[in-house]
Amino acid sequence: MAGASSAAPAAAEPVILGAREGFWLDPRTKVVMLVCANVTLLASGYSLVGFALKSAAVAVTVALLAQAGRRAFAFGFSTAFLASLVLELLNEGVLLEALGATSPLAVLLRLVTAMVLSFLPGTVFAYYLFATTTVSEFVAAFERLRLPQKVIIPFAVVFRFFPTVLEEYRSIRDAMHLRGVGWRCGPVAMVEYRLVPLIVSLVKIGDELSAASVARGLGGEARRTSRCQVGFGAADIALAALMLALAAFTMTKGVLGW
Amino acid sequence: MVGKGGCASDARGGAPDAGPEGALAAPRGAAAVRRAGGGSPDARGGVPVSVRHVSFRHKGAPEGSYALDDVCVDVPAGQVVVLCGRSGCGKTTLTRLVNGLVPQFFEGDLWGEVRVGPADGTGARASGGRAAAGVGAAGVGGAAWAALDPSEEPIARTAALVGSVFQNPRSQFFNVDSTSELAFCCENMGWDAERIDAAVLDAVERFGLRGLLDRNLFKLSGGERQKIACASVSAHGPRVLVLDEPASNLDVRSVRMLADVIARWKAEGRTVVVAEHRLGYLMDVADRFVLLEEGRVAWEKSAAQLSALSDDQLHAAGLRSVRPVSFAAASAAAFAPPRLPAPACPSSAPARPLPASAHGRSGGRGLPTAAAGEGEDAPKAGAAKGDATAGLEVRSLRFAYGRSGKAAVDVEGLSFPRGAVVGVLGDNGAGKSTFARCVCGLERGCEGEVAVGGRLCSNARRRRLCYLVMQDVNHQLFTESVREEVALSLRNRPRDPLRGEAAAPVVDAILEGLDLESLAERHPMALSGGQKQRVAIASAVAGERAVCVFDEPTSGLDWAHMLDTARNLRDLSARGVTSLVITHDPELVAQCCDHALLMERGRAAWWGRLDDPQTARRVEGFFG
Repeated sequence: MAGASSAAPAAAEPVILGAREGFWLDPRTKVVMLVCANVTLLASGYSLVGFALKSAAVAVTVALLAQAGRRAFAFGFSTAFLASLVLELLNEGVLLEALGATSPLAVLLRLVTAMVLSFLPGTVFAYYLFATTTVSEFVAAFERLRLPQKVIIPFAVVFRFFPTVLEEYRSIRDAMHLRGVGWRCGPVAMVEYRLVPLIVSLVKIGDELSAASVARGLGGEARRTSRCQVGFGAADIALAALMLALAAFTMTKGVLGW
Repeated sequence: MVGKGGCASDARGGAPDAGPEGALAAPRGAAAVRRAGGGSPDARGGVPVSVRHVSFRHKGAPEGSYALDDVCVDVPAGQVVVLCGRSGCGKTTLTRLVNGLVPQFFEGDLWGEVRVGPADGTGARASGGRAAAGVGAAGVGGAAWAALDPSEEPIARTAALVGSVFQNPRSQFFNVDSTSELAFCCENMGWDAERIDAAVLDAVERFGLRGLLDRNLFKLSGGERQKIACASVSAHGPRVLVLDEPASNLDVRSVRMLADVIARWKAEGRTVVVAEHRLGYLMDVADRFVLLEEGRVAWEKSAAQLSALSDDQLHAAGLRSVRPVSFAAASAAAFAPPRLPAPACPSSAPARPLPASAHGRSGGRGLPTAAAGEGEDAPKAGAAKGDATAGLEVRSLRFAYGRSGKAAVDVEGLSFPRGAVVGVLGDNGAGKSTFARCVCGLERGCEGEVAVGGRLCSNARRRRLCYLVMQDVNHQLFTESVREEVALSLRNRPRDPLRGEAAAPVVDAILEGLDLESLAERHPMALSGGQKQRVAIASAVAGERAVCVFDEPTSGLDWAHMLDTARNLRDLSARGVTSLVITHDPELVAQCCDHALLMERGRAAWWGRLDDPQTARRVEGFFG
């Protein structure tokens, strides 16, 4: 990519912009897959068939993460998922007997495993979407669908929003450490102390960001173009079809009550 | 837009006294033709900007309070004009007027006339036609090209002609990766992909950005972000560039880089309008300096005329120095022997802020003397634990991010007395902030021996003894009133915490000492930047912190507000608090620091007392 060529000292060597190599998915494919993954995860239930469907969706997510170079994260996530799966199966059969159906420990265990099995994979896929898509690609892809800028831009801003929140949140956390403000101040105060400065600075950043974007020509009447090449390839079609099939199977299963 | 709001300029007073008559007569058309780059896609060459009898009142502002008050400024094509003046003098509003944000984004009532481009429509024909065509049928038929009124033209269309760079490098980029950001303006103009790539490559070469392509903008330094912002905004070849305090958050080296960028724009014949507090870096490149005072043009001067003014004259106008600050003079005369230890107990410490009248006066080196005097006056009551004169001692401190093993901070053998004010210098990315976080105990992986007040302290203990006043003070104000903010620190302080009734007199004493009693019931978020900083200091005082670290406390501040901060620092010193001040501001160092420390690649390159001539020379050398 361009990063590699920019490291070369020779001034004559041309910089190649956006030369895309190897595996790449269109942002639209990723969004469709995200929706399908969530349908599959949330609607497939806790039967053996449901676990199989969830596992399939998770397998795709893990493969994509590993492909994107986030191997350690993929490994950690799949370990957590498999552990929860085993616990859930044990819970049904053995643990529930041993602990008693209404014991707090069993309920807590149930809650944690349900979270990991149904909600975490969707969040992880969303992380994959944000981590591997640039704002520019995202906007370009959805403008191909002739969606108006008013719809696309707010979603695009979310990409930038997460790292901003993280940056702000870290320094607020530091400030609280220094003030000795902790949980002993009470959970309400804790949340308030965290949220008030966070919201104030996010509003300020949001204002400055929109002023800067408008002043640099965003939202004009000219049809926005992009230097990102977006479009569907074989991988897009295969993966979207796979995830759509999983979601469709889940829905059918739900309707027919298998 | 003439006569908008019903009362034209006659109701707002006649022509200004300091009307820039000379500027009006400048050969604007000729300049535009001379610079027009033959109509290539990135045709360079500026167009003039003219602001005539403009008054502006923000929406919701009370009757009679004008952000701009009958302002006339003319910027001939290809000139670099600097708008300067105190905070709130209207210079930012004036830049927003040129890019159309005022009155279309920041709404209000506007009188007068703004024009970007030649008034009679001649001159910029060849080059202007292309720019207008780039926006997509701007209604000029691609042939004759008339001046544009940014107050009525859609902002996005003005953007084709006027590029804008803003103060905060954190909030002016739209993308997360640098390459997309460089293409952002071109994409908004609706250019096709090849043309965008060509323009981006051109910008990369002109600004030397090869190493910054395809990078996550959130992982770049402030200086690098500002460089990307400048390159991004000039990729589509705007004729006019407006910059709103672009150097506020930049280190010494990045400021030089910014000066180079502006010089490059000037060489390309573009028109540049800069609103700025830091004037030194613009002296070589700027054609004219315009001083605004309370929304009015007070005077216009060339760089030569400006540098003929004495420091006192500049400071009286609210301006920063335009010459390198001399530390040798400061070190010889001003600094008293080591300050006597003062107890950190806030209720008994002296709190005598200098009178506000000190601001315009600017005795330069006179003020530190006063501060040292204050230190000597401090009562000696109350013995501190451990060594009374020991402030902060960093015997060793090592910290590495992640498992990389490469130390981000590796500092040994620093020692500063109680009450010292240490200027921590260094380029962005030299590890100053990380060092500060380590000293405050905020980096858990940090190892080493640090003594506060003569006693070795763990990270956890340092979090209780040290305080960090952040650059964005908003992050550390949590409660609903200034009083409650101080009370919170009293409740949480390590030694005999105070609650409820018992705390009230102490809170009052602290507020009085920091000149905050009139603001006691106000919401901290509703205060001005300087007041917020003072509230943060008050909570540090209430928490009986022995060490205070300030992260760039004066970025973007004018002379008077910088003096306020310097005064706060000297107050803290008189209370026996040792301060580390991370700063790129030579005048702040001259005003209140008695020690200096240079960080380079995570290490302390040198450090010493500022009254040592060698240190003073090194500091001067650093600031260039």
